[in-house]
Amino acid sequence: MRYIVLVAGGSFNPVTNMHLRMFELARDALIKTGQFKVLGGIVSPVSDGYNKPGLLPSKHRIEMLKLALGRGSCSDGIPSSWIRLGTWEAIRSQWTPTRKVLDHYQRRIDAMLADTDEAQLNGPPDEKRSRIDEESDELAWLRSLVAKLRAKESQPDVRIMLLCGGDVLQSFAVKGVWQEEDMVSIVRDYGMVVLSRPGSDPHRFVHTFDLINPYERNIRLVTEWAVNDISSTLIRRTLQRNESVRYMLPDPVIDYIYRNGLYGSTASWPRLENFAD
Amino acid sequence: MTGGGDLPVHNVLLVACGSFNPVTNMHLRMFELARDALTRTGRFRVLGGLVSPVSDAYSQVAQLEGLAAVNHRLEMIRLALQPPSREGPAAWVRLARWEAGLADWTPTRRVLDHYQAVMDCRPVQQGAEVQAGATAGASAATAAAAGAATDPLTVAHPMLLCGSDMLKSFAVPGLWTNDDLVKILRDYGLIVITKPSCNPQQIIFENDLLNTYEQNIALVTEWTVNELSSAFVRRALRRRESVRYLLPDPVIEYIYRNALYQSTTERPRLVRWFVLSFLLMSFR
Repeated sequence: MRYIVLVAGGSFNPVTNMHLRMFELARDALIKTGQFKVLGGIVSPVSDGYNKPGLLPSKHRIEMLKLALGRGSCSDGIPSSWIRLGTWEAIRSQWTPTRKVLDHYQRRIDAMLADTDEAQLNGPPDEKRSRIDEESDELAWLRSLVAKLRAKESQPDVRIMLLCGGDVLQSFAVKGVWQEEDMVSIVRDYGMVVLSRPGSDPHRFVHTFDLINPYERNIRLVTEWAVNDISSTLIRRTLQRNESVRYMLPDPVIDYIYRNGLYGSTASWPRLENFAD
Repeated sequence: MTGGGDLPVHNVLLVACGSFNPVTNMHLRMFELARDALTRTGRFRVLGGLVSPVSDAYSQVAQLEGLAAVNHRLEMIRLALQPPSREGPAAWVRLARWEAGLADWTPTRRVLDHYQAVMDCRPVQQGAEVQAGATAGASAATAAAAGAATDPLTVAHPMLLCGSDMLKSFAVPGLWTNDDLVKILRDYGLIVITKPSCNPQQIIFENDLLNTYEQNIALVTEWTVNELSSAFVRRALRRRESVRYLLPDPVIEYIYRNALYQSTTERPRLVRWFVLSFLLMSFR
């Protein structure tokens, strides 16, 4: 039995129900194979160094994720989620390639499995002590789960797996976006769960793309039948037009956006005229 | 607010009828889209919304299996319609219990007539709702009308909110009486939310009655939430798959707690992690 921690990168600008749904579907798909158990999921928002126009500061994007995942400052009693926030990538000043993010979390897991003191982990020279401690805190849930596993099994097999959308998979073929060795490492050493909308053809892509084709077995393709098009782009556009985004992202996130006037929104929750409350 | 010139501004109460078996984010989204679309035209003022679930009698009429008991469906809708923010304003869409409480199945036209009467402050049929005192549906409609009553240039009426399925059903012979259709199209109006793949203009074009009242049919495309339906949710529940983020969390919890739609109260994978997470939190 292999124990998986799903890691999804992206801007999360803002986080939407589609992002969250991706995790749910991936989890169901992996469990259904009978080969995996899913320990948890990590959302890893990109750092501000990504330099995309319109990318809100990571402070906001992280806070919205916390609210979406039920751990924000205004947490509303939403049940705690198996999906967690990972800020290691976000707090770095430079953009980090996806493969390195996966490497990082796998290293943390390997250290937990070997029971190595995490504060002694070799990180890049600019990583301050306080950040390491803060991150230890962030992954405490994982450390406990791994400890429990080690109590049950002698050498538990715990792996990171990349979770992404079909657009990310297709970007493999775009020159200059990915390093070849990174792509190989991702499909060979980690594996992917790819969520695609009906009508796209990820199977054909995996079939025809020579670099990843040998690792076809490690690429699990899942179709998202229901909620395919709630993109962050659409959310931003709708907010700018002061139109409703309700039910496309969690209410506490919408509340945060309205309160801080983010994404050009000047709206607030609709007020009723002449209603007896 | 006027629509320009002598065009009356329609003050509307959006009414959605259906089984809501269960209510999903798609249903809730429909209200949001309708409100934005109508407000954009400048000719409408949306006073509120009503979700009017069908009574249990519908399952005999429609030969429908698997219709959850009306008390469950009502409670799920009530949970779904809770206001988004504790500090913010009250919800603009309310639960309407009148139809659900009737012993016999009630045609949609009668439901709309009922709320028109409430808005006009005319006497209405005594339903279970009246027994319970003024309910959200009745008070919403009354208040809506009261707000609209002062200006002679305004009209106030319910407007039927629906999806393309209902629009298509208008063309099915024998399903609707001509009388009811005319009343709905002429006096109340429709706002239809459709998927990009649907072609509502064609449906209207091909039906004489719909075509006659084309001006009273507002069309809105839902670009994002393509296939989310109650049937989809029921299927996922049956297969013990996750429905999170397809409907509001409190509704999901209610479904599991009451083992509706062949879901089981035991959700070993999910529940164990909730409990585990809770324990982890306690021990940190």
